[in-house]
Amino acid sequence: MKSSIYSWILALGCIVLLVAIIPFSSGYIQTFIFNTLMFLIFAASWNIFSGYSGYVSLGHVTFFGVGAYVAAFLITKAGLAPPISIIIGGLAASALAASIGGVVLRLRGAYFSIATFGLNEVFKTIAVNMQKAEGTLGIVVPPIPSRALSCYIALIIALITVLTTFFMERSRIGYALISIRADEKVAEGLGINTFKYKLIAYAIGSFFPGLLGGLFAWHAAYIDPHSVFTPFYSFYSMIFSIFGGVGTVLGPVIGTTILSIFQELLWARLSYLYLLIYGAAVAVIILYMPKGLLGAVKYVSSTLLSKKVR
Amino acid sequence: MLLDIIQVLLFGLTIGAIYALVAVGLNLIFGVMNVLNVAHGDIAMLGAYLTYWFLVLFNVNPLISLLLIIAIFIPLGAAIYILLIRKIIHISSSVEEIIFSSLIIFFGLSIFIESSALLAWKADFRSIIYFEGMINLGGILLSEKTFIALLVALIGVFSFEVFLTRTYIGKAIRAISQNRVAAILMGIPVDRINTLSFGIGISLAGVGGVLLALIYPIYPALGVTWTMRGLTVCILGGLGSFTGALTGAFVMGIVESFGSYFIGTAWRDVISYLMLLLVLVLKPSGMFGKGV
Amino acid sequence: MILEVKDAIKKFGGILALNKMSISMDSAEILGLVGPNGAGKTTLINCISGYYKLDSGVIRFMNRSITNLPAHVISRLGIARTYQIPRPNPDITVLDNVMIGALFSQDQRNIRDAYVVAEGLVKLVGLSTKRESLAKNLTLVEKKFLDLARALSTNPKLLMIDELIAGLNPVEAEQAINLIKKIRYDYDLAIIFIEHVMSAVMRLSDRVIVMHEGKKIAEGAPTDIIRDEKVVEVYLGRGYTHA
Repeated sequence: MKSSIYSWILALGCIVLLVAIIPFSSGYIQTFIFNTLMFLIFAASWNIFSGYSGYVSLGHVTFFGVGAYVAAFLITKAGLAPPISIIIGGLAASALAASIGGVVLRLRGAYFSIATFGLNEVFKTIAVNMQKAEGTLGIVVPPIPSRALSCYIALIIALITVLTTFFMERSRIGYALISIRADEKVAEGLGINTFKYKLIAYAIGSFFPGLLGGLFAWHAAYIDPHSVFTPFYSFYSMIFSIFGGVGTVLGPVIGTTILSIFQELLWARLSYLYLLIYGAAVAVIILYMPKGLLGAVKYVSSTLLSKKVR
Repeated sequence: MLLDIIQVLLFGLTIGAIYALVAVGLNLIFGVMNVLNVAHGDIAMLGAYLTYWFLVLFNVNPLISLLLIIAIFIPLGAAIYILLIRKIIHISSSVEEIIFSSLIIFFGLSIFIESSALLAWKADFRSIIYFEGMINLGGILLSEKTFIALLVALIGVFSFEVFLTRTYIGKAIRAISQNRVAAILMGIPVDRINTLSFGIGISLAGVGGVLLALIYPIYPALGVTWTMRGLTVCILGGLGSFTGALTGAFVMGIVESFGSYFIGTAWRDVISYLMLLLVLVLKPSGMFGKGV
Repeated sequence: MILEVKDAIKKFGGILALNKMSISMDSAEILGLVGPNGAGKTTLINCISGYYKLDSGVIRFMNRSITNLPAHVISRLGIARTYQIPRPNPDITVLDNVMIGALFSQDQRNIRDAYVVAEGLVKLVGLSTKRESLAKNLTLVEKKFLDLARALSTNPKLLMIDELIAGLNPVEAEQAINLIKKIRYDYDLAIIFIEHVMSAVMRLSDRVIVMHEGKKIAEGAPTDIIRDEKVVEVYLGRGYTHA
């Protein structure tokens, strides 16, 4: 779907609006915006690799946790400034992705998914053992000066993630990934070094949750293994993307926005209730609406369009 | 020292036998319908929690619960098959798509079960207090729980083996795993066998969960840990091979037991994950497998 | 020397698909590859293109060994193939499908150039009117031509075609035959083509190889092959060899 000039204007408008209202919003709104942007970064970054290649990464949150811990360590132990620590956290996450990918991306997709599924548990265990060795439950980090700043940084990361998706989609990497998704062996027969492109995309996609982890550590001022290695975040990444439409630039954006507002409006105090609903909903979406919202819209508009032509 | 070793070995065999139950169920589901059930451990966890509930609320002997769970999980599995898997197979145009869709959907199911467990039972550890005696086998001390778990697990594995090799349904299952098209052509009612297989696979997991709950304290997040164990075992032994799942399970159990004895339990998950990676690097099709 | 396959062996479980199969091509000729179903023709193509790995034997292309090279490297070296059941990417357009082959070919083209090449090829195979259609909406015949265009987009020196003519009506078959002739002359390609439609084989091939049970049982000019005793026996049975 080639976006028209109108959607660009709309997007720009939203961003300008956000930038304007953040400093004047209440703490509640700011938290809502921050959380939404967090989900957006999770979803859009998961989409970069998994959405386009068809390789389901089930451990996306691992990179968030690794980024958080690396950044927290750098801030508290090495005295590095938070922005730098956050960036290094992101790079560490990418490096991890490249290492695991180097092993598992040579194999068929199911093995990759299994390996990513367990990756989170491993790093959670490592973090727990580290905390035990330190004698603490978690790491306390000097907090970020203002919540508005958290929102701005999150907004920047989110923008970069979405823009990266946009440019990647139109590059060789994008074409390689969709060919891999359609039929990996045929793609190889066309001269595509599938391993190389999968690896690059996987590493890129893992950078952003890594950044987000560092930001989260700064924002929340405290992290521990269970709060940053939460499998539920992996699931959010997936469902928000799938709901909006995987393999598209705007799918994760739309999916996250709608579901985040939906969650806020319903305002059940038990987050587990959402997960129950989402867990069931994902089956419905995959079975009945596999291309997500964007796919459904495209389908409807193309059927309407074909009626018009007559 | 020798007595210690034997004790650790026995414990390893027990864990191995339980893993065998869980893994064989996983393997069954994958072999028959190409679905990687990443909610398998969560279903085991469900079995564990139900046993705990029945004990605490109605004072039911865990072994009776075990039978109840089999009775509940077989129809439950059939329902999941009919509602979800059949549709997945229907809308997918290739094996890759089935795996892709089922991974996402069953991940969703895993989340669903885990959040339900958290809502119902909170995140604290629960323990099943039953069979609290010790048995003395010529100097080797074994807790009653471990002994019973070992026995039940071995019986379970053995019965399943017999089922697979001696009964019509068992042979049909093996036929479908080897070559689905040929099985269809031979007149095997694949859809019905699929339904039954999923139910059996799930109840094996449930039973595994009950037995694990006898030995370890349980909490909802264990679901994912057990799923990973099951998957690692299957890959170690070779996806699609029943002998492989068995062998892999015992290897895993013994390695884990000795690992815990010498290094401590803290790194257990990391060790088993490294084993998984090792297998994937060296021989992804596992010891006996035909691979994905 | 363009292609040389020596003593290729390929097993699938207990089945010996290629049983010391050897072929060689020294010039840009059209080589017809025929044989009963299950003879191993597609398997041979799969092994040459790197889709499968040989169990033993050697494959050389343009004087270098390509045995066990990864498929994408073999493609970059200049070998392309079509599929018996066409496998384009169903969710993207005809043009995009062809363009992807060009994008990753040995010339390492950029996206704009790849589209230019794709436009030309789409026109060549007669799919210009369908260039913006999604591949899944094409008829089987159109998909076959798309497959062909995509194979050509990788700028190959050796093109292997797997059953293009079978399933086409006489008009389409004529178009296909003329297309292959045109491709061969315009691009100076060596072509191996598997076919069951004998008339096409007779008209197009410079040389024919007959396979049976993984082995080569006859080789030569088309007119000689149809008279070869072994070939007749394999297709029609022993009773006909006296014809």
